[in-house]
Amino acid sequence: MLRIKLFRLIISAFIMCYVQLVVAAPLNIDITGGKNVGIPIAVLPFEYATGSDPFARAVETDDIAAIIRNDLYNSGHFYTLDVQGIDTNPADIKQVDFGYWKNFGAANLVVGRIVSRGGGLYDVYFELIDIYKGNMEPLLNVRVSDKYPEQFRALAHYISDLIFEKLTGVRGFFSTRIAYITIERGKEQTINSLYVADADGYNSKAILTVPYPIMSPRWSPNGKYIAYVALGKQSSINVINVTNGKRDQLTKYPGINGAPAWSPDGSKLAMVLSKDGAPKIYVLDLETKELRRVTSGGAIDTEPFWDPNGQSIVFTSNRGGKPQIYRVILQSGAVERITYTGDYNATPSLTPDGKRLIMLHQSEKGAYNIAVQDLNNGKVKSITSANLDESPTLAPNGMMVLYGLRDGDQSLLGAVTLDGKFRMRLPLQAENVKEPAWSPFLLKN
Amino acid sequence: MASATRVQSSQSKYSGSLVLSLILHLICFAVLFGTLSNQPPQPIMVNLLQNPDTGKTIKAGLINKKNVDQVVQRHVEEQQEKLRKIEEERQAEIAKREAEERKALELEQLKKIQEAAAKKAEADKQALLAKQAAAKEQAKQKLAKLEADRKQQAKLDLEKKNSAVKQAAALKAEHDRKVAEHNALIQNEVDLYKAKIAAAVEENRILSSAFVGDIVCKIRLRLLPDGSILNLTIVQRSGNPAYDSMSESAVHKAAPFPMPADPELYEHVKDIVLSFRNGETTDA
Repeated sequence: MLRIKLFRLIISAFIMCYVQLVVAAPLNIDITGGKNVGIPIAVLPFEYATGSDPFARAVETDDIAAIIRNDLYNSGHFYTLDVQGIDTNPADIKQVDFGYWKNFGAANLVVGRIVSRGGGLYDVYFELIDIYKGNMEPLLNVRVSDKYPEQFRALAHYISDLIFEKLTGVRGFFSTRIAYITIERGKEQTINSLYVADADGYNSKAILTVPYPIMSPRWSPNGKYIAYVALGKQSSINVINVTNGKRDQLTKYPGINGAPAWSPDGSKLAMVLSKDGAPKIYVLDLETKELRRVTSGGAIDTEPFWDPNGQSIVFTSNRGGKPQIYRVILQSGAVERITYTGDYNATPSLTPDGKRLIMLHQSEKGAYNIAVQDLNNGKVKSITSANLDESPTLAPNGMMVLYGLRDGDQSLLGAVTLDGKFRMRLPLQAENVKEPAWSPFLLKN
Repeated sequence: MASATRVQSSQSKYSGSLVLSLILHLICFAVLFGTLSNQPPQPIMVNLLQNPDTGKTIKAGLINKKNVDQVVQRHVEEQQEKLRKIEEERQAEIAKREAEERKALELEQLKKIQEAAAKKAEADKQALLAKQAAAKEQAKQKLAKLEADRKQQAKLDLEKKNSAVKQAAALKAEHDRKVAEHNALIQNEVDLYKAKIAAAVEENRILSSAFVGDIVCKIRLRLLPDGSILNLTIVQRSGNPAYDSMSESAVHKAAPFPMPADPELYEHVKDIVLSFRNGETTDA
């Protein structure tokens, strides 16, 4: 009896061990692949009051959903589904037929409605819904209010920012602005303008129009000013107030006054001056007006860009014979070369985490393209492929580069994601657009 | 316990007969002593010619006959009185002695009874002590036996166990061999399903350059036999909630998963940890 019991016990112990081995350890599967097609999202037209409400007409031309769709698509991270002609139009999650949207191919759905509060104020309610998680809680459920028509684009961009951040984990840049230079060549004279526009290229407005060439616009970290170079009889560095257009001249030394760059805290401006011989990097303290030269030697040093930590400046120099990018540590003055791939690397900027270098890089075929260098391993990857790209400027979230490109005789602005997989051209009205500058994140008005 | 009770009852049986024999002995004793002490007292010899008080011989005198007679008479009377007194005294003495003897005898008897009682008490005590000692000894022996039995049993058990272990080891070796064969078969099938599941998830996974760095999101997935999701938990977060959410969505989108029809295979693939690796996607 005991014997049998003991036996059974031992046998069952073995079986248990075996079963344990099989059942206790879940199967491990590595998921490394995927589709880089963008997040499929359906943004439905927002429900709105009709009839005598002035908003009814506005929606046709200024549809919030259309702005959001455009923002998300042009970020390069979304695939916006065409929802024209669909036979369902839920206004909130309770009305959503999840099966329908699964079949439709949407991973996420944006629904919303607009309610007039009177006095030109509108409340906009929207929900961001995850189609696949199968829970009835929207990812986002937000009410925003603003005035029609002045603020509706801004409001739509704001909604895009919220959606983008929710779905990528990265702050969206749709509420930011860009600056650029346009050149209109007339018979009598050439008109040079400094424009600012929404990040999507809409809402453009010239804040400075002058007969002499202007270049190198750079936003101050608080987004209130733009420093730029004016090339009159003599070059000068100036600052313009974006809101009221008020201008101040900062430097007008003999020779070159160029390539201004704001320090991350906005208290200093790096620049290139040739007052002492070769063009060198200087730092101007904006409060004390103290000017300090930070590089030396007979070579050309230009295009300074501050490391986001404020401790060093990267710049272009021909001190090695060919243009390459170097870094100067501000405290010690020590300089190190950071680009080694190819014969031409210039116009450096750094991602907000300081880990990647964006630059103009001459490929082996001789084309000038935008390239990204990983500062950890030195690997360089071109993200554009046209012939004459120029002036790369990074979005404040570090995910997209705006740059100048040439198409025939035209100079245009293009945008590209940092992996080079998504490129677009900005819909600007002007023919000759150059030298874009992306603003920092701006506080919502 | 039962044997202990038995021992106790046999003990009391013995003690009963012991008491009985003691009593019989006592009775014999008593009879014997009683007959001895009931012997008649020895007769007391008196010399009438002697003054019992002085022991002097009385001198006879010749007075007149009458006088003599009278004297004699008186003397006789005196003598008789004396004799009577002596007799009385003797009788009293006898009575006294008898009383003393009786008393002595009684004392003797009492003493004997007491002694017998003491003896009996002592005997009882000894018997009890003996009994206790015996019980103790018995208990000791019993314990020793139990211990011996236990040891014996333990030894037997160990032997049994050893033989069982040996048998089990042989069985296990056989079992292991079969399991190894079986596992190899299963492993092939499991690998196949791993690839199918990975493909299903990757087909539905959106990569984005928005996700930067070597971040990993681990999702534990429990599947029903039809391949639908029973339970999904993020067991390791990447630090980017959107990345985690996107990984989770890919799993939901991929469901229901291809599942094996074999219930045993199902056991192997029903519990899965998916590791969503960002890896090189940003620079690919």
